[in-house]
Amino acid sequence: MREVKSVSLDQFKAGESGVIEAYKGQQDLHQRLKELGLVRGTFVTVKRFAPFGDPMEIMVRGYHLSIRKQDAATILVKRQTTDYRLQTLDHRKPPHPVPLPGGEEQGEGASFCCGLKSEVFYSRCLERRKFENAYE
Amino acid sequence: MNEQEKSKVKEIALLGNPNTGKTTIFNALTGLRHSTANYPGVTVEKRLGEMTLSSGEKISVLDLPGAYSLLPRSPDEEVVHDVLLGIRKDTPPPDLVVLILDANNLERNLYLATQVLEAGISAIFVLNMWDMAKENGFVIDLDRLQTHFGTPCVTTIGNRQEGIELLKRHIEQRLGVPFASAPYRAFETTLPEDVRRQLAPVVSLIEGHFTDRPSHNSLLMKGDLDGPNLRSASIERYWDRSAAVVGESLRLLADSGFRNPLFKDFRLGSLLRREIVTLRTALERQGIDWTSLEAEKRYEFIESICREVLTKNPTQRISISEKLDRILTHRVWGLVIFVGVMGFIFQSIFTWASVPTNLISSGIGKLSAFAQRILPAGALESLVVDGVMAGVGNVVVFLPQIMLLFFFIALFEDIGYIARAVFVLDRLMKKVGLNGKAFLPLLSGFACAIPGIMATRTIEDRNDRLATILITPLMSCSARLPVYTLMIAAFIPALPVLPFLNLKGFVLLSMYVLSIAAGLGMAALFRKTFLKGNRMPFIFELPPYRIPHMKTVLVTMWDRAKEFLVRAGGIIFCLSIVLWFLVNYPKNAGLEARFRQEKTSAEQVLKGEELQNRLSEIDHEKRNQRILSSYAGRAGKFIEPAIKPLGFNWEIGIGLVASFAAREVIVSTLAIIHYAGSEGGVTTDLVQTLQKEKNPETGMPKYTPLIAVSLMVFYVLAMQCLSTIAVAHKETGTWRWPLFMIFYMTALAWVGSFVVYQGGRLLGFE
Repeated sequence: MREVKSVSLDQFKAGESGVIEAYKGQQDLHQRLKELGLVRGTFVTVKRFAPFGDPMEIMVRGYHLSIRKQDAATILVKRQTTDYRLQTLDHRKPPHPVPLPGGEEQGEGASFCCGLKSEVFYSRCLERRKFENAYE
Repeated sequence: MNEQEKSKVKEIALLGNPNTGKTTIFNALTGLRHSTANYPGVTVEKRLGEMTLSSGEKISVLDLPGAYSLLPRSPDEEVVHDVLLGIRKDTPPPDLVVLILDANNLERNLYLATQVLEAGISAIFVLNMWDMAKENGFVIDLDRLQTHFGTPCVTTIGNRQEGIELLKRHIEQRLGVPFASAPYRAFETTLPEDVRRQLAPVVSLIEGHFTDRPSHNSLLMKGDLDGPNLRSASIERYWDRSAAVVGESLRLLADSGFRNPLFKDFRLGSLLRREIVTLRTALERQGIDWTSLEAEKRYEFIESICREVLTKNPTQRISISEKLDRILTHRVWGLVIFVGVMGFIFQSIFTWASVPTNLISSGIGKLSAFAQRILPAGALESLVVDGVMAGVGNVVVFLPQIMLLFFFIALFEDIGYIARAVFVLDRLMKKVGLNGKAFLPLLSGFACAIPGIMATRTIEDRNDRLATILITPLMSCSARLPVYTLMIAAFIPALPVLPFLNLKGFVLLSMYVLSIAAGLGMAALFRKTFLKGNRMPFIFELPPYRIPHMKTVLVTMWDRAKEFLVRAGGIIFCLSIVLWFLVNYPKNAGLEARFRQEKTSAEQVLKGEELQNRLSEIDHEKRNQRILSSYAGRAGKFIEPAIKPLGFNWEIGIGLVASFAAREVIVSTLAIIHYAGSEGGVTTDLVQTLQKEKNPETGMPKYTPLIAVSLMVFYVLAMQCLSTIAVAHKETGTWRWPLFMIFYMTALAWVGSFVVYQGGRLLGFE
């Protein structure tokens, strides 16, 4: 059971930060974002918005990126105030439990994901099986 | 083979993310000894320089475009990918890669760095902006970094030229040692085993396509498998090959548009495509996102490295960049400052540049007069003076404005302000279907559309870029200014409109507003109709503000100016010659004879000053008659019916035809037609001449304020500069868009002028 839900990045206010949980929508559009470092588990901070409200400036991995709100809307982020990145991204650790619509919690999801234990693939499994509503 | 290799000039390549100070380091290594060309077939700049080692050996230095990853997203990145993996025939892979990394964001910079190392090329890491990294609290363990990657790491502060000598020594050292170590494979080993197994068929399929390199050669000895019967073979054999093949397989997997050149290989392409599609389906069934497999795994891997080598001490002080951004992207002040900066740039381009421009003009004038004196009168003299010199003049007279514009753009880019301008304007641009990056081409268009069109290269989306190219010529370039100036001076009275603005200034301002409105309007139209789409997210980096490095700024300015001269200069020059021909031919023998006779008779009768006046009068009449009977004159008369509804007569028609070489030529053409000129005597100022011209049929003034406004509107909207068409052709690679440009802009101009003239008449302005 968890209290903090994922919210799309465009809903963040200046100064807020969080950790990227997943991406919504067509995956190949997100390729470049991921190559720039916005992969699952990355800590991002919203810095400010442009004078007309769009685009937004975020800080990620030590640099500043401008991203339009419509594109930020496809990134689901879990609010978090501190960058625990260096601790949480030990890739031997099991992924976080996520509640499914049926109310049942999935643990490590090892059998769920065809024997792949990495949390990266775990999130892909979920998205693939159209459990996106778990993140809404 | 060995002899060949010994005498071959060694080549190093500078590579890195954008905004890492690569250009400054390139300039530091090569001095001013570099040249800019294009990679054949693409509009990507190839900067090649020369560097002398301490041994006296000269090596070639290639400045590759900035790239974030070897999975290409733009023509720039395609070139980087193709060069490093040996796919480009014209540019073989370098002997050494100098990877410029921004020490302030090591993680993202290591993404490309690890990809490059896997290609098996000898490398040196340069951690640039080292001073800022220290200020930001970064602590990087260089020894560990060096040991892990097996590459020397040099810290530099490009702006202060620190570390450059050390870098040069490392380059020399590294080049001297034959590269023996195996390619970097560490990333590969973090891939889960069954993913590797599934990748194997693709890996072996593409292995043969990477150029033979000493390191590959030694490894090829071990593995002996060729051909596609690979599924059953053991895994170990494949991992003897270069790690780049594995990385490249992941990238091929992610290449949803099948844009990689390997897919087009006639031997391999279709087989590869089938393998990839099979693999994608299989991975999807396993719930694996194949579009970003490399990205996810690689960052996991980079983070594990950075855990060992990088720490960040929290800094209490807010960085200067942060403080500046609070003002410069402020909701209110940000915009105000932006408008102020733009105004300043405009003002300087038009006022400061006028001093050297006038100098150049008068210089050319003197040169023409000189040529006129020493050359015997005749076709050659005419060609040289009216054709060649006028042509060169047309190009060179722009140079001060263009250079000043390039200077400011390079300066603000180095400071980091251009990214903020893009950030601020993006919302507005989005409304008309463009993105913030269109700002720079459009701004440049106010000086000249040609550098503007060339600047659209930074726009990644194809339709976005096309739309920007199509509307850039609508931005009122400086060539139109003489037309506005003449018309306003002659026909717009100086009535006060606002306390600080009179009608003259107001009309001028309206022309510029009209040009911006037309541009944005057409962009919106194009993007809604046939240039739709923009699926890719619009993202760009906002680099920290930096104190500009003046040498880099000036070198960049000069490079751009040279490119403009070469691109546009040649075309404008040729067109001027063509125009000279159209305006001076066909020669009417009878006409020439008559004038010669008049001259001789004048010489017999008159003397002294009277003679001079009469001779110049005859000269003017001769030029006038020539132009009327020339091809250009005929063309002017021919299009008269079409332009009458706009209020134009055939004389303006000739001017319009002449403007195709360069817009401001209409001014001198009108001067010729109306006998105006600066040689004293009978002729008077062009302004007064135009005001006095009367229509022989009606007795009414030939030119009225309404006609003047109509003409100005025509010039705002019309596509006349053929050099722009030529550059547009080069940048888009086809004639379709340049021709469309001519078509739509001419139509727009005609309609615009029509509305203004007829509308004005209806309202009783005539």
